[in-house]
Amino acid sequence: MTQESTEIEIRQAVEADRDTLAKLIVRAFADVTTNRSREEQFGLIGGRTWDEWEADIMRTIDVDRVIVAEAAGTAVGFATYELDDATRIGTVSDNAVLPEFRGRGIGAQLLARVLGLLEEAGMEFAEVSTGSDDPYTPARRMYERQGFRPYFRSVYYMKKLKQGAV
Amino acid sequence: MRARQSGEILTRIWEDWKKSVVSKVDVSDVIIAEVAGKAVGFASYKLDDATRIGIVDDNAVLPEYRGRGIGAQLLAQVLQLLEEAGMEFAQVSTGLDEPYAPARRMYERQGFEPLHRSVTYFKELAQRAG
Repeated sequence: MTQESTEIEIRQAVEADRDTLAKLIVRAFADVTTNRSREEQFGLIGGRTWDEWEADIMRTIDVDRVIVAEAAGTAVGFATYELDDATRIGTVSDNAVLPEFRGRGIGAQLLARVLGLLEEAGMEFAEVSTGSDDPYTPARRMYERQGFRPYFRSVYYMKKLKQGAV
Repeated sequence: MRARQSGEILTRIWEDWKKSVVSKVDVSDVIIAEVAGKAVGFASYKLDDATRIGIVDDNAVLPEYRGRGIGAQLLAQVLQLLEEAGMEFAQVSTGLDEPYAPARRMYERQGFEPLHRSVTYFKELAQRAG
């Protein structure tokens, strides 16, 4: 397949990427976002739809902490990260690849690049959280293959408060 | 349940605690539970005016004071503070393993519904290992 042979380039994001990244995060997370499942379970959050909340992440993020994967000049994946100089734990935050570009190791390349950046920034550890349900199985396998070990399983709960129920 | 003990429990905002222990958490408030003037439990929370989701943050009761509903009282009070602050939802996360079973039961009894299960991974980076 010709698409398979397209070379992937990973680069630092810049200010001009914000709109592209906002669209990318919505498409890449459409099948695996907790914002969407939360909306399905509880209704609109703050009067806005899940995709607006996702896009917001990229409109407000520090682009220095975002890398982009491009195939033939088109953004097809991204990864974000955070640094903590006190604990020296770097956090791998949101990361995703467009559905039609999955299964080619682009996510793994993004992750490897983030881990390199965390080391260069003086971090001693890397931390990442993902879902434990089925849609997140490929993500968990990717983290485990790159040496991550699970240490904490958790559950997120939500409750509608009275004034919201009226 | 020794609910009658609750007369001794004074729950109030503890500004000093907020400034010192929890100072790294922004826009956070803490309430504490006292028995006979001694702090035996606390609960912290955060507000988000954009999403109107209030986060129930760290909360705990000293081991020797557990099993008498102090945690549930703290939680109920936090939920009320969230409502008063205009929040539409409350969110909380806790562990899925056995030590967290009482916490999960408490949240479920007060109307929380599970939303998402997650796993957190950790990795030592080369400069540490090497």
